[in-house]
Order: sequence, then structure tokens, then C-alpha cells
Amino acid sequence: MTTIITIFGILFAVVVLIGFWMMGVYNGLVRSRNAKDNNYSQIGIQLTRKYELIPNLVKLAKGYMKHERATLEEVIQARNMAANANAEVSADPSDPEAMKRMVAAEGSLGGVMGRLFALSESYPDLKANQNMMQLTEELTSTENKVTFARQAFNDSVMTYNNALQVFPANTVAGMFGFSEAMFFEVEGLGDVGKAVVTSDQKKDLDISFDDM
Amino acid sequence: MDFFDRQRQAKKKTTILVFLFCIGVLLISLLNFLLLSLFVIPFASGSLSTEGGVDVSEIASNSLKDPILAIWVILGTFLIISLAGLYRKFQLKEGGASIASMMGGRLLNSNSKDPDEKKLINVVEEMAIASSVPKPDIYVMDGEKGINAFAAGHALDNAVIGVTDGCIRQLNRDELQAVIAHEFSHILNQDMKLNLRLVSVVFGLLVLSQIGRLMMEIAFSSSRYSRRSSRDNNGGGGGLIIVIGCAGACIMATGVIGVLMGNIIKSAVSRQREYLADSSAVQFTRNPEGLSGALKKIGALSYGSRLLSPNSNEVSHMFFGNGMKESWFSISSTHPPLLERIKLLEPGFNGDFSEVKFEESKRLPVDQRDEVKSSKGPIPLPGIDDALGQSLPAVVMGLADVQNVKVKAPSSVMLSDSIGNPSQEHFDFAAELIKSLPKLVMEATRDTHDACALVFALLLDKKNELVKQKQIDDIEDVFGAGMSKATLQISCELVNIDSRARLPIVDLAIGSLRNMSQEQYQYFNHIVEMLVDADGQIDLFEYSLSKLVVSHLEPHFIKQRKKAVQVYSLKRLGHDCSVLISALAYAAGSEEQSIDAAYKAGADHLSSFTELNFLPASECGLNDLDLSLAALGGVAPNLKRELIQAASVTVSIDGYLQVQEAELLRAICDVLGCPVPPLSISMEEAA
Repeated sequence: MTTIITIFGILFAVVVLIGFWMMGVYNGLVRSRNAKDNNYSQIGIQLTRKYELIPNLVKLAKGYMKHERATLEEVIQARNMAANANAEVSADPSDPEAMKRMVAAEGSLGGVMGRLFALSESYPDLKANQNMMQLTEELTSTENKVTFARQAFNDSVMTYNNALQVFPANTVAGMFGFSEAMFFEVEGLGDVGKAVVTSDQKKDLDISFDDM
Repeated sequence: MDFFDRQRQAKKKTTILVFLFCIGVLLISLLNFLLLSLFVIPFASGSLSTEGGVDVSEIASNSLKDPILAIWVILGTFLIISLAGLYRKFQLKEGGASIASMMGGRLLNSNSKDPDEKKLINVVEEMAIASSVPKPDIYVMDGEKGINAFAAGHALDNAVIGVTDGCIRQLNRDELQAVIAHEFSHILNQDMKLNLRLVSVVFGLLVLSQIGRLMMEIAFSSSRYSRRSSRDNNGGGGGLIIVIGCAGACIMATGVIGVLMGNIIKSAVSRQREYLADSSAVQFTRNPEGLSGALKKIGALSYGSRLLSPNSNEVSHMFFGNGMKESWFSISSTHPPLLERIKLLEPGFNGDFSEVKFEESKRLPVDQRDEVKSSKGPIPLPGIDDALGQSLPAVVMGLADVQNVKVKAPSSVMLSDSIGNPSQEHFDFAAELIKSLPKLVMEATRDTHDACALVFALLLDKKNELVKQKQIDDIEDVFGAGMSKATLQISCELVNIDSRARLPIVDLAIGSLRNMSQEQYQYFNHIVEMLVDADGQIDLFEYSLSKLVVSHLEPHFIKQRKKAVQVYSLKRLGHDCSVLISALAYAAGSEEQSIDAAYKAGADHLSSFTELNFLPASECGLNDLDLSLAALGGVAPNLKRELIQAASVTVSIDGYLQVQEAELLRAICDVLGCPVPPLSISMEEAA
């Protein structure tokens, strides 16, 4: 009788321990996923601000850049696409497809914005406009904040992905359907927002509006 | 009863809690053993044995006397409960944030445009400045329509405040302020730690009943399965299943008793704390009507303070109102009855909730909201919601840029009494202060990037342009041109602010700074050190500020277990006390004589606890002070009171307190874990 109880007890204890370990791993993953999603919301706040600023900028530029209608329309289009993608990602930051669209949209917005600023070089009146200067200034500082928040987000994605891939946690992760998260890395951006917060890339940090 | 007594009391309560918990576990284990040996085992051997005619009562009495069985059952039960408790404890190691996400909370964006949310943010910010606690993260539970709120966390640095949607929509500003003050009192009185422990304990007891239920379910479902599949072979499998089922039922029964006991433990510990928090809230705001108004609205609302989240049972004791259904078993209720709480505040209240008025429209336009606010409540608080940066009150304006203001120093007893105990004056000060801050600075505290820039800007050298340029270059090297530009911009705004506002600004920014990533924090920390060292010397403000930032951010970023050693005597810490008092004496006095006098005053205060020596300046530099403060951080609360009193006697030897002295004192108190409300409120008298 006692041996049966002993065996039963040991088995039970092992099962309980494994259960606890699994719960611990699961909760750890959930926690770092939440931290990551929370960090995305910081980016989302700044991006939303940026998307609010761009139409104002375009409206202002329209008065001066009569011949650049196509570029301005492109800007608005790219801005709308990026805003939609941002809304999508904000709703579910864990969706890698949405994140891919977001990265692409941000990239093309950055490209077309860079072109707009390059074009504006040949409109001195626009550059001298008080409102324009204020808007570009605000856009730059928002872009800086986006970069800063993106850095934090990417760091937390790294933490989350690491937690996910390490053995033996990856077995639990597979069981509960945790999937790897996408980094938010914007390639092909214009000059806007190239600020990267690492010391070895410090020379990239110049922002093109400074000399406007 | 001051801050230190309350802390001691919280510790005592913890001891009671542990004691009750052990008794509870022991009782449950015994009960488990009795049930198993009296019913399950005899029954099991009866149904498992192939021969008939087993004497059930004999087996029962045998197994009752079986010591190995007893040890197994009792040990097993104990293990399960404590393992579960430990597990929960591990799970809650993130502190408040984990509770908030358990309850379905959403982290409030500090740039929110919703007027009700803005109101909440403002109230919390005022409260944080008034009590010198870093602004806690705010969570909103959108799904909860009842009026309720909670505070949770391990320490002052990582506290969060959660409020229900009903709370921010239904309450007016005074009532909301009272509720938040109630929660802040939990934060300041160290109730949160106790509360978190309670969660783990109750969970441990709850798990037992869950395991029992699981066993029963397994037995039930597999017996149905086996009955269908193996009708013809009547083996012993069915018997084993029945045994598991019975054992499950027993375990579940004892588990339910455990949950009941958990609730009793919860209520034993938390009810008294609720009364205390109520009275502190009134003391903080000097406005009993705010609190009684909030409580009345709970009574009048059909869903009251009810919480819908399935996890609410475990955490109900952390909440402002009784989140559970009014229990038939009043001893297990975590909160005092609503009516009783209201009657304490308003003895004439007859219990008729039907006359409680709710504001008609909850989303008034901003300008009308101000009118509503100012017409309500006996103490109209400045409508800071929208006045940010628009009007600068004369009092604070007159004080701007006064670097060397002196105030009459508060007596040391007054100081230690005010710790963790802000008063109406502190709230008024906080409101004025927030109002006086430039819009840019206020916004900077709410954004991670700009909050960094803000801290850097505070550390920029004001006298030497060359040093300043070097500092800016350092920032640019590490964080880029955007950051250095933001720093310069903010520093321009900072020129005009009241010197007393500098540390409170940092309190507000701490929350945003926590959003940095690990890596960013490393760089940030590095830059702060470089900025402090830029001119080759550390002044008191730089020291205080970096101390404040580091002591509040380090626990968040560097996950290291702090040693939980409690020291009950200062005997062995004589050297550290000497460093503290000597360093303060050098800070306070200018000539040899005044330094000496300052040291003597402080040393006298501590002479009955330990032996002190006056140290030469070289032996009590800021680095030595750092080490000594770390050592002194672990002393028992009543000794901390003596230390802080001695420190304040030392710096205010000349009867006056300079801004830098006040800041240093504040930083020291912070490192010792004692939030001292703004010291310099009475400064206008001297100005």
C-alpha cells in the first residue's frame, strides 16, 4: 500500500512540477509579448502625431509648389497608407503580416517625403515661411521620437524572440502558438528620421531639415 | 502614528498573515488526511480487492494510525499549497503591472485627449508631486463599469494605479481625487507589498480546490468512457477511477474550506487598512466630502463597485470598494461595509442613496467642465487641466529663478511626521507647481524621448559655456542630434522655472523614462554620469538629481534581488552614520565653526544609538555617502526615523533650509525609501 502511495506521490509531484514550469514559461512569454506590444503603442502614438502633421504640411506646400502636384498627391497617398497600416498594427502588434505592410508603407512614405523636401529646396519662399519652418521642426522632432521608440520596440522584440527560441522554452512556445515577432526596421527612408541610437552610427544622425 | 509606525505595523501584519496561513495549511492537511483515511482508502481497498468481506472500519482505523500515510498526505498538501503560492509570487514579480494586466487594464497614454482621462492624469500627477513619489503608471479597466480603483506594486518605484472606467466617468474631480488619495495612502503605507503576498497565499489555497475538481472531472469523464468501451471486461480499472474521483472530491472539499479561510485571512489583514486609507485620504485632501461623495455614488450605482473580471476574487482586497458581491458571510468581506465607511466621514448620513446626484452629461466641452469643477467642493482646486502654460500664478512667478532662497527649516520632528503624509498645503503646492511649468516641459515629462532630454537639460552647466558645449556634444555623440537639440530647447524653457520645481519634474518624468529599453537605459545612465562629471566636480543638486533618477529607475532595469536584511541596531553602522552626518555638515556649513556646530547637532541626536566620529572632508565625499546610504537603507523603520531627524537637524542648524539642502535631504530620504513631501513649500515667506 505504502509503495503504491509513494509511487503515486512521486509521479504526482513530477507532474505538478512540470505543470508549474510550463505555466512559468508560458507566463514569461506572455509578459514579454505584452511588453513588446506596449512598446509598440509608444511608436503608434508618435506615428499618429506624424500622420496628423503631414496633411498640414501638404496644404501649406500646395500654395507654393504649384507644379509639384503629383508629388504632393503621392505624399498624401503614402501617408494614408501608412496611417492605415499603423492602425492595423496597433490593433494587433503580434501580426507579422501587418507589421510587414507597416514597414513597407513607412518606407515609401519616407522616400516620398524625402523627395518632397528635396523639391522644396527650389522654393525659397516656402522655406522661409514661418509655418513651414515650425511644421518641419515639429515633424523632425516627432521623427526623432519615433526612432527612439522604435529602438525600444526592437530591443523588446529581440528579448521576446530570444525567450521564444531558447530550448526548452521553445517547446512550450510551440504548444501555445507563440510566433516570432517582426522587427520594425525601416529601410530606404529618406533623410528624415535616420537617427539611430548607437554610438558607432552617430554620423548618420544629421537631420536634413537642420539646414533648411 | 507616523509613516514609520505604519510601516512597522504593516510588517507585523505580515507576521500575522504568515501565522494564519500556516495554521490554515495545517488544518487543511489534517482534514485532507482524515477524509482520505476514513473514506477514500477503506472504500478503495474495498472496491479494488477481489476477495469479498473486507472490514472497512478496520482498514480505516489502520490507515488512521499509519504515520507514513499521514506524513505523505500532510506533506503533499503543504507542498501543493506552498508551491502554488510560490508560483503566484513568481508570476507577480513584475508587481503592479502584472496585477493590472490580470484585471484587463490598459496602460493610459499620458497624451490622451479624452477629457476624463486627462483629468485622471492631472489628479495623479498632483498627488505624485505632493507626496514626492514617482508618478505611478495608470491603468484603465475599460470593461468595468462599476466605481473602483486599486494600487499595486512592490515598492514606491514600481507602483501602478488602476481605475475602472466607471470611476473616471462617474466621479467628479474632488471625488476622483479622494479615491486616488486613498490609493496613494496604500502606496505610502506599504500596504501593497502585503497585498501582493495575500494574493499568492490565497492562490495557493485556491489551487487545492482546483486540483480536486480536476481529479473529479478526469474520473467522471473516463468512467463514462470506460463504461462504454469495456462493458464486458469488468476489471479493476473502474475501481481506480472511482478512487481518484473520491479523492478528488475530498481534496476539493478541503480546498473550498481553504478558499474560505483565505478570504478570512484577507479580510483580517485588509479591513483595518481600508479604514486607515480612508482617514489618510481625508487627511491628504482635507475634504471629507470628496471621499463620502465617491462612496455614496458606489452605493447609488446599480453595479456599485462590482468587478466583472474572473480574477477579481484573488485581488479584491486591493481595491477601493468591495469588488465582490456582498458576502453572506461578513467575516470574509475584505472591506468594511459601505455605510459604515460613509458614516465615519459624514455621521448624519441616513443610508438613503436615492438622492445621490450624478452629473448629467459626462463629456462636457472643456470650458464648461471648468465651471462644473469650480462650483463643486469646498476647496476649489485650480483648474489646471487646460490652463497649462497659459497663466502663471503670481506666487510662483515671483519665486522664479531664486537660486539661494532660504526657508525657515521645519523642525526635525515635523519633517519626519510629514514623510508619507502629505497635507493640503502640499497638494496646493503641487497644483500651483504644475500650473507654473511651461507647456513644453510638462509635455516632455510624458514622452520617453523628451523625458531623457529633460533630465539632461536639468544637468546642463549654467555657468560655463564651454562645459555646456562639451555636455551637448556628449549627448549628441550617444543619442544623436535630435536629442541634443531637444535638450537645448528644453533647457531654454527651464531657465525660468522655480528652482523648487526641479526635483518634482523628475518625479513626473520617471514614468516615461521607464519606457526605455534596457540598452537605451545603459546609454542614458552613462550620459547622466558624464553630465554630472562634466565640470570635474559634483554639486549638491547634481548629486541629488542623479541619486533620485538612479534610485527610481535602477530597480526597474536591473533585475537584481535586493538583500532583504533588516538591521535593528545602528551599533555596527557607526561609521556609516558618521559619514552621513559629516557629509551633511559640510554641505550645511561654510566656515569651520558652523560645520562643527552642524555636525554636533546631528551627532547628538544619534549619540544614544551609536558612536560617531567627525570625519575629515576627504573621508565623506559623495562616493562614501553613496556606500553608507546603501548600508543604511536596510535599517528598521524606527531607526530610519532617527536617521532622518538627525539629518534634518544637521542641515538646518542655522535655522534655515536652502533649496540645495532641501533637495539633498529629499534625495537621502528617497534612497532610504521614505518619500518626503516637498520641503520648501513655505519658501515664499522668505522670498
